[in-house]
Amino acid sequence: MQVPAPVAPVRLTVAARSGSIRVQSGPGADVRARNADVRREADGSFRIDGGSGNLDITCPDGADVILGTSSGKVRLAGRFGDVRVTSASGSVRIDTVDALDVRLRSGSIEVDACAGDCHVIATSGRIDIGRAGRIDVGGKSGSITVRAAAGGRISTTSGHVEVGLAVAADLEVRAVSSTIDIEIPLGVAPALELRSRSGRIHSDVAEGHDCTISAHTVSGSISVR
Amino acid sequence: MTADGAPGGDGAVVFTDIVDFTRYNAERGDDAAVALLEQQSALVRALLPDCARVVKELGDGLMLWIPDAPAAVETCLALQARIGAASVTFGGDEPDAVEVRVGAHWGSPRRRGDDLVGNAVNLAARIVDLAGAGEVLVSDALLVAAGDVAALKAQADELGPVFVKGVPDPVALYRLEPVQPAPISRPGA
Repeated sequence: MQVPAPVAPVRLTVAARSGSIRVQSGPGADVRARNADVRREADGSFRIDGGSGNLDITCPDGADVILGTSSGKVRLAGRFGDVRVTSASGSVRIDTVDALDVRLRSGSIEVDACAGDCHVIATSGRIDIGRAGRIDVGGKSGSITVRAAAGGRISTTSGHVEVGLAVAADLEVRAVSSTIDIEIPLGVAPALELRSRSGRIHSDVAEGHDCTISAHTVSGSISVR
Repeated sequence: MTADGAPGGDGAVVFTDIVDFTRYNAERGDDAAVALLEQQSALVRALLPDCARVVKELGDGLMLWIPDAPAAVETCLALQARIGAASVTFGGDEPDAVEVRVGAHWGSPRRRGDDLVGNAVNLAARIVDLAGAGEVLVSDALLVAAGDVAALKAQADELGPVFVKGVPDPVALYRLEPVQPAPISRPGA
């Protein structure tokens, strides 16, 4: 019996200075773009260079996407593999990815689901992540919400931090003037290391050794439930 | 001293920045913050190869000039490794992990006294802004100048095209990582 060779995921690099960029994944095998040419690179990957107009791109489900822009909305609709996005300003909205790296100076980031590592850096703006593997989130101002993660760390200066754990996993939150709310799954007994200089600290979970929850803020309350 | 405006030659402009310095300062106070900056400065100066120098200190960060691309790659990784190893000693009786971010670009800035100015400097400053805790981000220009980074026990992971104000074309950005524990001795020593 002949075993087919594994198919490498499609890799797509998109560069556009401004304008909205929409990438839609689907069951087809083609990579297509409206308002820009699709170039095939020597390594088999695809490259799309846009200008300042709006870009509409379609690609196969599970494609890896590397995208850079200066400003404008970025929308990745569908299911993707390894996704990396850098932008100076604008909003980034992503449905489902295997792994994620987003770096944004200002603007909001919204992610529905990231199966693996979820790395997000945003100087200002709201960060909203649904389900994720290990998170590594760095912010400065703006709220950070992570609904269900498999541990990780969050660092920010100001803005409300709300994070839920999906499993027993270590979590570290560092902030200067943030209120921190952490939700632990039922039945998990974490070791708690909570510190606030001028805020109230409240926990109603039973402590144990299933994982370590460490949260420090200079001012602002900390709640673990 | 070279005249103001003279080409500084080709080299790596490297920026470092202490992550969460504001929080550290607020929690530990001014004396601890100053001590941390001095620890960082001493640690970085000890790592620099002979050809390199600290251009200036910038609040909680440093601007470095390393006119040798392979040495720049090695120094950036060694800096992260050394700070990672030393961070447990920061903070005295209450140790707190201290991390830095590093950004680097290869170019030809102009001299202005002991300072360096120009697009290469601006670009390196933008790159460090995009770096996360414990990361080294570099431009493709530095990687090209450095040649075979695998020979430097490093690997580069592409983060993508990055648009930078004042630069017409996107810059390819990479995360630089050691393929094994980074050297902590002085490069070339």
